[in-house]
Amino acid sequence: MEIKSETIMGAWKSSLKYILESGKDFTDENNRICREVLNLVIEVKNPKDDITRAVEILNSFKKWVYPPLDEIADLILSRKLSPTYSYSYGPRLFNFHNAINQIDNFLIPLLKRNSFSRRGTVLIWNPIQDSNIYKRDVPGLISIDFKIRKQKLNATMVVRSNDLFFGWPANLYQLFVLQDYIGKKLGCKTGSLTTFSNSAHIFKDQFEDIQQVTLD
Amino acid sequence: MNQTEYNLLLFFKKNPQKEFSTTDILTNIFPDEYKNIEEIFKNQFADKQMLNKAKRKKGQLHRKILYYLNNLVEEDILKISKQGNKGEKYFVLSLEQGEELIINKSKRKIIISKPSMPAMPIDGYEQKNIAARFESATWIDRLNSILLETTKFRNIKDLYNTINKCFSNINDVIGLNDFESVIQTNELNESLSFLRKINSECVDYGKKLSCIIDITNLKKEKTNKVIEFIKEYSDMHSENITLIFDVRSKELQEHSDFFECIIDIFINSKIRIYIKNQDLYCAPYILGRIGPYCFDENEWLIYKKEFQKKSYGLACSQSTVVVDVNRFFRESNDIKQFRLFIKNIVKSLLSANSLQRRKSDEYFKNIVKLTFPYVKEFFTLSRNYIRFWNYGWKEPNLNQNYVIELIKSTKEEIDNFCVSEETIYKSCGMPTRFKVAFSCLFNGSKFKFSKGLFHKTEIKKLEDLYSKEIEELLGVKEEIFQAFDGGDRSRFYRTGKINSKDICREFNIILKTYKIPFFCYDFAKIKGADIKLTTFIG
Repeated sequence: MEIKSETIMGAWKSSLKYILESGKDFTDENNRICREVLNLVIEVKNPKDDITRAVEILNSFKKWVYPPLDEIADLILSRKLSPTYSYSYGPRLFNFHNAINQIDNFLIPLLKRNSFSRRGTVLIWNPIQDSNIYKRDVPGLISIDFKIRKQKLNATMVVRSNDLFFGWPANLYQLFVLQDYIGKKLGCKTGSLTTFSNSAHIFKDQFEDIQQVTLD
Repeated sequence: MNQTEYNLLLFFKKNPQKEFSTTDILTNIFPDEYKNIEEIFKNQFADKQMLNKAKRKKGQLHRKILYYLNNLVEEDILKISKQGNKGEKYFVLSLEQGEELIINKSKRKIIISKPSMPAMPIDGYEQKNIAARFESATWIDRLNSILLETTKFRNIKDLYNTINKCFSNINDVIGLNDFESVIQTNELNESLSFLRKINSECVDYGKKLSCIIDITNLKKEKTNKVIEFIKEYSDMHSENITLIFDVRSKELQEHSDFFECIIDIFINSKIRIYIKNQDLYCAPYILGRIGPYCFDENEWLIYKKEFQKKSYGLACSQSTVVVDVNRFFRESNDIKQFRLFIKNIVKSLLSANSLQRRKSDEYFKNIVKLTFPYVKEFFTLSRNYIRFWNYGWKEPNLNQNYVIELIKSTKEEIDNFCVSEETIYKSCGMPTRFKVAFSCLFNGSKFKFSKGLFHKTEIKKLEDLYSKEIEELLGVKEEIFQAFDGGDRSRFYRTGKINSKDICREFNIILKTYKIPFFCYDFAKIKGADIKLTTFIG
């Protein structure tokens, strides 16, 4: 299934609605009832205008505290792994396996050299660390792909497990921040953001809140 | 602007929220000189002349740095935040949150700003002295308590140096796990010298130390050494070091001679003896200035199985907020409002943790260095604390069970909230830990809280432990221990005719009969002879 929208809010609402209506229920390993759609593609064509809106809406619920935007951004741009996180995206991108800076030393030079390249893919998932059945926390985000087409930098992320209500707005913001960082280095305008969620899901205990978002 | 002055300003610019002792500053501004001096002190082949020279050089460096620091104080760029017992000065930037300082001297310009702390949903309660952040100046950039695994250190000197380094990252207390091994494996004069030196450091830095002596590891042939150590400890009358005896009733009986002997020492010195019941609770207890700290028992068991052997230690508690329950209910008699208030505290702790996470490398540099490569594991059991003062088990018209139920149900709500937050953070790609523990507060007057209303439990003889009054009292205490997952302490004032055999039997009764994991016997005589085994306002 593919959902396309000009804005973040449009894409978020449509996909939440789609999962509510067409998803299949199952009970996950934490005993939570999960409604899931497999292989959902969501494309936001013009994310700039309302990139923080979904996070703001989540913040407006007084039941919980959503992570602050600067912390969400820090997670993808910071090269250092904070000892209080089990893993962090930034170190994986900028210092993968303590061996390679995938962004500054690979992706940016690659796209500078050949703006039509189809090799602009960076990995988050590290099989050496993550392909371990006993490990509790492993990244949801697997890889990010960048393509320059029509002088615009478009970004696509593959997410193996994606909580569309709580996780997706933060994931999109992270992708946006990274796209902006790379775009500036390349002197290139930013384009669309796409997520490919292998498991796009929502949880039953949040259905009421989700309905409120989709109806607003 | 002189280079030293410039370096000093840059140093404070990097750490605008922090407080530093003269020694901290010295080691950062003149690292090489200081290192050379320290190496001479550590060098066992250094002769008296070399040592004297090093001492002189150290004095010179201190005077030099103080000259510049005092100038900055005169210029109102820095201020002295406190003075240690040995007279060591502590400095902070003379800036309020959100303020900026522009220093423009001889073509050099430095701008120092103190970032604003986000507004917390407890600020209003703080103004009314209903809630307070413990050590608000270092609320975020320090941990409140940590536990060090003493068996992991190569020698006692190494342990001493680590404790010293950790003091700058700690607000309250360091626990030393398996401290019996330190006493049993080192020469007595070495462990006594350690005790004296570390006590003096604790006094200077205003920190506490809990030495946990696990009696299950006590070797019969080493008991004399342990007794000698305890004698010296009791003579010191240290307010900063606490010995905690971690026992099971079985060992109490097996080592009854040992216990009788040490109880005598405690009685003669009129100091408190702390007992932790290992049968009831297997994780360590640590005693801070503001109350006890402990770990989640299930998490501790996992740690013990998976990490303890490779771990140098553990963070026990991050940030703490203290609450005057009595004053809250004098302001508002609304239970819903209370739950909301506690939730607001938890939200504040969440914000604090978020700031802490992002700067943990910088804030806890010494700890990160010490625990590398098991840095993540160091934080895996850490919790934030909410400590309650005057929580009602003395209010004449208040049903104690009702108060306990309120605390328990609020805790349940808070636990659910913490789980939701962990889930949200994880969904956002931030798998992090957020836990909040409830516990008691020892001294409310430090936070300008209401006058303490509490029970004093006096025991005059063994039979008192079987009295209806004590049974009821301890029954309530058992419930409170259950509600306070962050730990509690039961304090018995022992008066009347005292002999160590009886006390030992009393310990055994408490260990076997009551679900009280942590208690102390206080042998300091209670003033006022007519105080009986009753409840009174203290």
